[in-house]
Amino acid sequence: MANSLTIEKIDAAYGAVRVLEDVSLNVNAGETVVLLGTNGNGKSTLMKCVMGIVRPRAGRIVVEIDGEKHDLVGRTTEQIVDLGIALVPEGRRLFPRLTVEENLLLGAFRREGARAARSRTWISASSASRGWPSAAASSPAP
Amino acid sequence: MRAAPSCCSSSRSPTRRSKLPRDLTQVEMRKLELARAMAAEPKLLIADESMAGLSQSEVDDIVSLLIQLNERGITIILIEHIMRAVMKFSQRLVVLVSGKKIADGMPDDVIRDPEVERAYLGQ
Repeated sequence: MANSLTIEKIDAAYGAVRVLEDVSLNVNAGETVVLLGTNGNGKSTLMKCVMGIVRPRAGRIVVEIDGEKHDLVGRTTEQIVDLGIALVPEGRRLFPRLTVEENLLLGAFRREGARAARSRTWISASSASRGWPSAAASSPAP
Repeated sequence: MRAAPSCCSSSRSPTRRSKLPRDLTQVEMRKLELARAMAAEPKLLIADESMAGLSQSEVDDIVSLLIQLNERGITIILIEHIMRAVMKFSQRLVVLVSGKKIADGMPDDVIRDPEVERAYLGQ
């Protein structure tokens, strides 16, 4: 079980504002690493680069999962979640009108197996009754 | 969602799982956020300031949850300001200042690094 993450020479910017400069970081399988820094120093941005939410201007992010290496830059966030990476975003991002169970089902819908199937059934039923766009229900787990 | 219930034990209770987030306590909401991420069955979990605003005992509660997840083989990256959590939890500490990495190493060494003290803790 080698699930390591390698961040190599990442540069990122929001418009003209450079947020990350040549950041490299390696996280080994099974390790717990804390990123420290005061506000506005690039911590969340670096993690958003890992999740495919922010696209870095330069550099590589490679994750090794079960012996296979995957380059993350250029992948969509859902592809990255499917590889086995999950983010708890900053600042209480729960769905306020959904119950505890429904919030959990939304976390599971990209996975395989019975629970994920239940999750997708619930999403497609809810999409109809609550008028949600159907895209969420129609994108299957890989 | 195999991993979710043990991360969010409150969700096991049938009465709690039909609650809305606004009826949860602050720490229950944080656990729900973690549980929802765990429902995706990740191998690498990234948590961005998931303990901000919690009391000391609640912080300890979340830290012990995260340690349990790590013991199950999940690699964890935490963005965190609460030093109590940082020192209890991290096997390695990385410091970013102005978009550059200024330190990376064992927590006890990193917090004594003069450059880190200057940049992060103030002169």
